[in-house]
Amino acid sequence: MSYSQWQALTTSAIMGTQRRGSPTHEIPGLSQEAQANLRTLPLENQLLTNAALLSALLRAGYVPPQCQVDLPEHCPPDSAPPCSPQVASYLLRMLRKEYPQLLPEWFSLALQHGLRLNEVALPMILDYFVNDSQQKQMIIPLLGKRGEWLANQNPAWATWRKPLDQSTWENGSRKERSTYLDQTRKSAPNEARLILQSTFEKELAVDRAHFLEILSINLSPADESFLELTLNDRSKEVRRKAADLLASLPNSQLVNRMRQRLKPLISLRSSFLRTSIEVKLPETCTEDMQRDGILPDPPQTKIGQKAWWFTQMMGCIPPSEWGKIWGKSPQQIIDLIRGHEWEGALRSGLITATARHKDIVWSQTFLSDGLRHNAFSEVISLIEILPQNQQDEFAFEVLRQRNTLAPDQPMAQILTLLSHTWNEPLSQAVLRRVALHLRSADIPSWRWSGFLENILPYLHPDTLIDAIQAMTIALEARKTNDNVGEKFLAGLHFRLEMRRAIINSTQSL
Amino acid sequence: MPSSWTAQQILSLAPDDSSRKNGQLLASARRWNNLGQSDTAIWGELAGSGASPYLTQVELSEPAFKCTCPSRKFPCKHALGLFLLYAAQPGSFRQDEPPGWVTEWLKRRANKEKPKSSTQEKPPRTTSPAALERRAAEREKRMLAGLEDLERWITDLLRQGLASAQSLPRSTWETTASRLVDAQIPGLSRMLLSTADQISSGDGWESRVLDQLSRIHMVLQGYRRIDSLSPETQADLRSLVGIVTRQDDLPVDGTVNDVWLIVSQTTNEENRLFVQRTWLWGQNSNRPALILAFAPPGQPLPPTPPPGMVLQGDLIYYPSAYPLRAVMREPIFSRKQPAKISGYANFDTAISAYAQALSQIPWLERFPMLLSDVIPLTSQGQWMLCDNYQRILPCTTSDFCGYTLLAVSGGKPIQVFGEWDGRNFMPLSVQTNYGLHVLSTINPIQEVAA
Repeated sequence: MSYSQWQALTTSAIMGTQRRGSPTHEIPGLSQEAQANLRTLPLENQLLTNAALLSALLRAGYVPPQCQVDLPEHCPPDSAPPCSPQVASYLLRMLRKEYPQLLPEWFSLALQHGLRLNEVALPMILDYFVNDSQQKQMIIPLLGKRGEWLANQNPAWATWRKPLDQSTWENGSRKERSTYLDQTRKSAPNEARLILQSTFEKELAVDRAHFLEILSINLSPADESFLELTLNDRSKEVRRKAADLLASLPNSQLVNRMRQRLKPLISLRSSFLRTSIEVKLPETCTEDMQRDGILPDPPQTKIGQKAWWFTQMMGCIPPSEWGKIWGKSPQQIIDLIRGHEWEGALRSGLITATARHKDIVWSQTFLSDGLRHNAFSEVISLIEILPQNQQDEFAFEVLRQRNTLAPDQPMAQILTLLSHTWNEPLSQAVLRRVALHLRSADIPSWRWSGFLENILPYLHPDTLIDAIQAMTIALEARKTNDNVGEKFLAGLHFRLEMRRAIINSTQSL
Repeated sequence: MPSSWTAQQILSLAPDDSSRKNGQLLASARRWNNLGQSDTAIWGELAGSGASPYLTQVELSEPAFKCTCPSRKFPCKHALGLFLLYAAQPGSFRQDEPPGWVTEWLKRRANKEKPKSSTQEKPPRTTSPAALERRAAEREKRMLAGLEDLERWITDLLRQGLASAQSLPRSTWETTASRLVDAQIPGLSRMLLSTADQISSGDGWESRVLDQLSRIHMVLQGYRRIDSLSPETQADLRSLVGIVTRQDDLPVDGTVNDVWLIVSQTTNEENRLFVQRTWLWGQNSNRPALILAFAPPGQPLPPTPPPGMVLQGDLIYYPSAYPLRAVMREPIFSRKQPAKISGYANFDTAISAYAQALSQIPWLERFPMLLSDVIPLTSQGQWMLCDNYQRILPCTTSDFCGYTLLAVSGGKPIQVFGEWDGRNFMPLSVQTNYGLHVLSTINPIQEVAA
């Protein structure tokens, strides 16, 4: 009795008993009489009976073979506790597109509480993020020893094991190299520049431009000589980026050149009757102006050519310098510009310079001025320059004055720029407003569903319970159903329960 | 009170799409008042369209539902909503003594005998003995004719050879199979269709088809001489062929009282019927039991607790040469975490038990195995389990499932439950520090919601 007998039976079955008949075997354990009886049956019955008996014998007699391969090594023990299945279930729901905007909070909170991913969640995560070099960095601290060990067991997960290092720069994909350069630039900026310099010439233009962008992190005068050289790059895009970066270094040669160019063009004239800014537009856009990043053609026809050159130059000078030269405060200067013949060029130049040189005082001034004069759109992005608590305070003030979150109003736009956890007063003020809007149904759902989705992660965690109560009451008081509001309310619940699950799981340990 | 029910599982209880959708809309705390929970039940009051609020409650062990709304659907959208809300926000339910209307219902349920068990397939009939006899004889005639028909068909198939069977259109198999259903032998119809499935199953299909045909052959020949076989084997043959035994007719000497862990639950479509197979393993008796539930398409399966839950109570096994299938009467949800169940200590014990079962039920296809202390490993794309005598069992499983086993094991032995078919082991669930985990074939992140 063996597999070859089974083979013979199978062959007969395939070819058919008409052609092939049926093999006769000795079936162990069957009496002679029974065997003889078997041979009197029709061929097909013989074949099937033989097959049935043989199959049963083979199965019942199965002997598990000895293990010929090495068993996997034991995984070293973990010190961090695994997250509970309940905590992991929130992660799974978010990855399945239910409130994915809360993912960063899950990761940071889990890390904060010293948790690691539980065992059954590991294959899911290792598999899903295997090609996402950015998110990986956020997840690696949560893998624990078990996760690292598991990644080692599967060749498809090799990229989880590879640390980002010099070999990444030499052999990795564009995304990997980008992440590596980004990481290095944050911890060792000069080293990052040297790494980029080492292969710069050989990179593709699109890569040169992309990697240059990364140098905007931790930009310092040490980068200047490299960037000056890059002003002569073959690619226009690369030259433009280099000039942009140099313009952000207040003591660079490029900015000095701009100062020289502007000196004859702008001055403060103080007379008995009034003070004013005298502006003379530049006559030409010379070659070395262009080399320094001044674009000769204005982007739209709204601004004249010469005004365009002027505003670009203004955009390079740190705005605080004007205050020092003229002995005026930022607000005074802004007031002097208002109504000026070249108001547009002066204003937009100063705003660009404020953003570029990250001047907090000028940002604050422009923003308050914008609030007073109802001119927000050009200055709104300056809010990102302020430190977080100032951002929150400013937003709070705007909300106090313009008590609406309607999507076309600046408040909603401001809040979307504040991508950090808001302080309690701002969170509470926003939530009160949201509740009022929901109750009165004065904003159509479809118009602000994106807004409500976006603000969910940034509300201060201590305001969530009150928020839930407020939204519940507001939705109840409505006459019509509102899916967007309900979704927001459910999102608040989700976030609260998720946080509770993570925080409580460590308390019980 | 641990809530192992997930939203997906709860939604699968919905009788139709509209209940599912409306149930989800009602899963919001602001719609409910006086939400509460006790050890065994949850309850709440919902302001409906009537004058007084609906009183809704869910008893969690079965689960069972009760609502004062006029809807005929079961469970109604209110009960679904309450249950979903509990799964998502258990914190909204206050731990409390249940109010009168809850304790009353729970008491009534505990006292009365269940009139119609959810796993029963047919209601009891009341007709005269003569009519019953006549009907039985007619049925027997039809069945024998059907069996003969099938035997001829298979003989023809083998005469021509399986090579030409490959080119038979699926409809030919299905026509033959539906004739068997008409002849009241649906079990053989199922076996025939599963043979048809094997034809297109890739490498080694000839072997598997022959295997399956030989099984059908055994059943045919067995049924021919059924009267000469033992009563237990008679019962096995009848049940395989598709003759239903009413639960009330089950002899009580097949009763086993124990604490039972639900170790797996799978649903398949067979013969245009949904069949749910739930495996249990007894803590003290250290033996498996299979609970089957059926539902015609469009109707939901009767609610059965999911894997990981522990039930306490009497299990009545159907008479069989190797009893596996059973029904549970009035299960009680046990709050105790199950003690570690022994299962099979090594492959020798496991395969011996299998051989024993096979000798009693020669057409046995899937044998449950709770394997304690096995280490999962993979080599050249093949997954396997290794016992403490350094021997291996080959597994058929996806990579994702295999790596899940590996993750739980970390190189150390673990306890795995699955089914053995004589050649391959299919893992279905694994014990972790947090309790039983049901293995998933694909990454649940990418799983498309049913």
